[in-house]
Amino acid sequence: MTQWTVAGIVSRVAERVSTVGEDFADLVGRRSLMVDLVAADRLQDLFPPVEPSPEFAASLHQELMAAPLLVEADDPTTAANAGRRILYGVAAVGSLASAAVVAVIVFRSRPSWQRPAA
Amino acid sequence: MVDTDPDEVLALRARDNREVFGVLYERHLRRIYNYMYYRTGSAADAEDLTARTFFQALNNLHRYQVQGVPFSAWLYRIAHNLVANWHRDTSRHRTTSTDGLIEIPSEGDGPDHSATVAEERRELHAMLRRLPSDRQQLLILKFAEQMSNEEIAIIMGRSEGAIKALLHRTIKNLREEIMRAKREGP
Repeated sequence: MTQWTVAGIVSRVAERVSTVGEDFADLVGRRSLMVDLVAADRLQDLFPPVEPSPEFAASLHQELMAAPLLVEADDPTTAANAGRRILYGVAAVGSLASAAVVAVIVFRSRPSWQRPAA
Repeated sequence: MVDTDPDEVLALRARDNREVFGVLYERHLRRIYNYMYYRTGSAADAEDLTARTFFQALNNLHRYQVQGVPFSAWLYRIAHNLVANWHRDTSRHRTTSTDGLIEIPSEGDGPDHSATVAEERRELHAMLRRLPSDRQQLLILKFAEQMSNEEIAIIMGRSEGAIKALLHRTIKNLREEIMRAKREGP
């Protein structure tokens, strides 16, 4: 038997063990509730429905009916948009100021004969 | 008729009618409580987080958009965010999660059998609670809330295929974890 054949068999066995419930249960040896449930994909048996107490349900209902509506004033998305607008405004003012400075420098560096007569 | 209207219609009407919100509350209370119970493992925490879910829903109804996701998915997303914050906060204070362990009544063949079953369920729930948050959420939505992969995909914001693959991987990992625990013994 070649090395590749052995590797193939081992791989198939490993795949079978990890995917087939009964093999998994046999491998574990001792059958238990945990093994049975997970092996058979009956995990829903682990989660029988639980209900809130009637007192809790009634009292929460009453509180919800009486609660004042709290509409959040500080919407984080609005705050983020406002911050972004301020940033764009500052950037625009900065760009204009830079352009003005460059214009002044260019104007002053021109030879005197190009300047308008005073 | 309020009682037969779909959730999405009621959610719009509930913005200015508290009684209508009461109908939505009655429809979803048990499932949200059930979800919270299995996410936290304690009735007291489940009550607290269930109450917070409904208050948050009430205060944010004006943001709910019918064209977005179904109302129940929107409600579960609120519940999930709250429980994720709760886990983050409690993990700062608790080193072990032995308090508030789930006690589920089991039908048994006798006191010994019942005790064994209860013990094994506790062990398995402890394993579940060691899983990453998204996998816990997936298992609880699938097996406690008995939702379809499509519904879970909407709640978790993933494709149906991704949910199917994650479910397969999660159950496989759980099996491996049990095998490891059994090999190592008590």
